[in-house]
Amino acid sequence: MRNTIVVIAVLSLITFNIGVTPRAYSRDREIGAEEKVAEKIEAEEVAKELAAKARGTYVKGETAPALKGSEVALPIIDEETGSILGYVVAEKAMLVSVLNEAGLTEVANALAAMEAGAAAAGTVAAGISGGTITWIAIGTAAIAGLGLALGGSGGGGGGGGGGSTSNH
Amino acid sequence: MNRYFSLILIFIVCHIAFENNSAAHDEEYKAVAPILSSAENFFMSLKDGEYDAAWDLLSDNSRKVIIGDVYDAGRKLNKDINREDIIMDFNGRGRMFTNYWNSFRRSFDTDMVLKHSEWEMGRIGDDEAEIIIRHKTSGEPTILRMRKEEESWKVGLTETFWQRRTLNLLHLIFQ
Repeated sequence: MRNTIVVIAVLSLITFNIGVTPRAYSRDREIGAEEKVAEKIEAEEVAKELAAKARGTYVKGETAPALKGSEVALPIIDEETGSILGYVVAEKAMLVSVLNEAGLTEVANALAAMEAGAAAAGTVAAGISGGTITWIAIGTAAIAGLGLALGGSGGGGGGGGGGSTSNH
Repeated sequence: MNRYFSLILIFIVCHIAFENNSAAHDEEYKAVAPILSSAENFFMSLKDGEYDAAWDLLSDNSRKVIIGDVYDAGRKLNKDINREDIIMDFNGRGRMFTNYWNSFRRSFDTDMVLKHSEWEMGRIGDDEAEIIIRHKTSGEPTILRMRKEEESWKVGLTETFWQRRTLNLLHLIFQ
């Protein structure tokens, strides 16, 4: 699931960071079909190179590939159409290292943000389904236990409640 | 005559009592509504992908902790990352900000809170309040901490849930 998140959430980054962005050309003239194909090929070549450096693979096509272990799949996107050309699949640490070496630290930062977001969501979900009161009770009991073990007096606290109520 | 006078007196007393009760309910509603509204709007904004609004509904402390989390995660992947860059990115609703919340939203089902939980107002203080959230499958309630900052109620997301991370460690130590 996390890998899927990585795949989906980094959609725009590769577009702007590894040369899918069109070469500088006059905005006054239309880009021909041959040039569009050439840009796509260039982007895919860059992607293949990155994949090779990261000891991964480049998987052509829109379908997200199956991942193993700590692999991530970064999509390569056609900026003009928004369609996915393929994916760079590699072990996360290797890929991030290669991207950093290539000066694409924004991608690493974005990956970090995604990881932090996923972890935060997990924490909140666990809190909602498990409740927060039980964990507080365990915490204070543990602290009290530590105090007793060290020969000092233990202490603990409890939460308060009450007040007006209304249903959501 | 006395009977009529008694009836009128009883009517007046009941009317005053009713008015006071209504006023008390109004006061209670005025106190409770903004708190519940902020909390609800936070989760609804998340659900709708309105991360800007969701971020603005978080307490200052929650925002600082989240930025700290992103920094800690970022250091593992990019040793040159600066906390200030993250702050700027989040303030400007940049890529890290968007990726953080996209990832959060995809990993957290907001309906857990919005549809599958009962909400009840708990303690209300001048600057702090608590909303008791009971998920349908949870044996224990969640006490969502709210903070009043600059005359608005904000969601203390990390104040509520992040202590679990610390207590997980304690639990591990004392197992």
